[in-house]
Amino acid sequence: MKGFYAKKEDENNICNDHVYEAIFTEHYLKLRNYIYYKYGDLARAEDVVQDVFGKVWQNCATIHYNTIKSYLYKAANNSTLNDIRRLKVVRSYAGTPVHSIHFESPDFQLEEKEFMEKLQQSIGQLRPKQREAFLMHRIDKLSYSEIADLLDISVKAVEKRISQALIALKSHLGNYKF
Amino acid sequence: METKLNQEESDLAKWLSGNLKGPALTKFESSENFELYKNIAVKSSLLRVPETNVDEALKRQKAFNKRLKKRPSQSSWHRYKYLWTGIAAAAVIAILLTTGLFQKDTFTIQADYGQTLTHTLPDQSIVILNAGSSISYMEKSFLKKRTVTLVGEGFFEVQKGSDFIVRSTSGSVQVLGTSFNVYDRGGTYTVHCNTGKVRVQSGDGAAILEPGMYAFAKAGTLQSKMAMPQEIPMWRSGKNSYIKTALSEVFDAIERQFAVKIVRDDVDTKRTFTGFFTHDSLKKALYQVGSPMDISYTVKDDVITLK
Repeated sequence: MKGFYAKKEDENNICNDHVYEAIFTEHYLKLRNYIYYKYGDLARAEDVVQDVFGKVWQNCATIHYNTIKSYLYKAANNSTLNDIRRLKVVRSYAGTPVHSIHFESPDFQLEEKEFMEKLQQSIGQLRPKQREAFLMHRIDKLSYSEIADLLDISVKAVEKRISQALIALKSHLGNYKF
Repeated sequence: METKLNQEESDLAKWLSGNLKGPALTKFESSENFELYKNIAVKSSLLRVPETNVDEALKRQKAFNKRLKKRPSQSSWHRYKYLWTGIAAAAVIAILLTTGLFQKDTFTIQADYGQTLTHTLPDQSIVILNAGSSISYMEKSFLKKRTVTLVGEGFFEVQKGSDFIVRSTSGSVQVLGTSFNVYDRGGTYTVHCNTGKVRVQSGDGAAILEPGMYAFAKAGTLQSKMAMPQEIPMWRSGKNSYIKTALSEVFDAIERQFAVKIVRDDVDTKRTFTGFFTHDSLKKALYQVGSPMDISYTVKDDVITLK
């Protein structure tokens, strides 16, 4: 009885190593960057994503292949929620609020470099939702509809976040003489 | 979510994705801020995040997955997945309907084998779960009625407020604002009071604990006394310590801590153990417990056999 259907089922079965690996390869970097943009801590982003893919591996038999994208992003979000809540606690004890995003910017002449630095600072000050959407578009080169799909929101909502990000960046950088 | 865009907003997003055309584009290009926007767009697309080699990440992931619990088998269950899911769903809905549980929203969080987990409750109280433990509570009504159900072991740091109750199989702990440890596994129930005052109830017995005291119930009776330093639960600082504890209980804890299976058919696990094991390596833990008890072991895959 194993014919066409059996084969098809195999290809959509996340428990199969090659399917799991393909999903990992396709989504790892984008997911890591998304969490990085959100909270500005690369090591933590990599931990979160490792945890999420661990969950996928554990629950491979129950996760639907077609819903894997939203599963990944939701799980990453939840996992960071717990983390961030704990961070808040730790922070209130330690009293050191830290939030930074470091990019690797290309080398330029001096004023270009100044602009880049100021731009990075301003991006660091954006609201997380605006920053996520903006950087997924600028760095990962995702289209608005791809971003909407991954975050499970409407394209209009993505457009709104992007525009607000632009407006906020403009007013930050507008006061600055280059 | 409100997603109405004003004209400026929708034009900006369209422009950034290269979809602003015709007169609207011309107008935008002659606007005061256009140069700055253009600069932002160009420069932001040059930003790079630190690179990662995805193949290396996949290797690390595979090593990481090996330490997790085996995934559920997918033999016959998988083949009849849809049928079974349907039956299960129908049964669950039937139960929910008859018990009226639909309105309630139980939130459960679990620390799997090999991990401890910190969770902040809606009232900002903190619970740290030891490996292989879980808590659940009603998320929406929690602030009105602070009750959590614990399976396994957890350390609680409770914010001041109304009564805070921790239920588990063998008893319940009631506090106002304090920190304490609850252990309820395999018939052994121990509550350690760290700060504040704690009221423990188990069966017919009840006890009020001051800081440094602990209560334990074995075979139905509840007793309380001052804890010796070595009796205070140390798992949060990476160490489990025991006084005259059945070896079976100690090996259960090692199984949970390192997510392994320990076969102990050839050993008398009714003997008691006094000492500790640390959480940094499985080999070390087996030595710390095994050597004083004259127990050696062999390892095959994830299964450890005691001799």
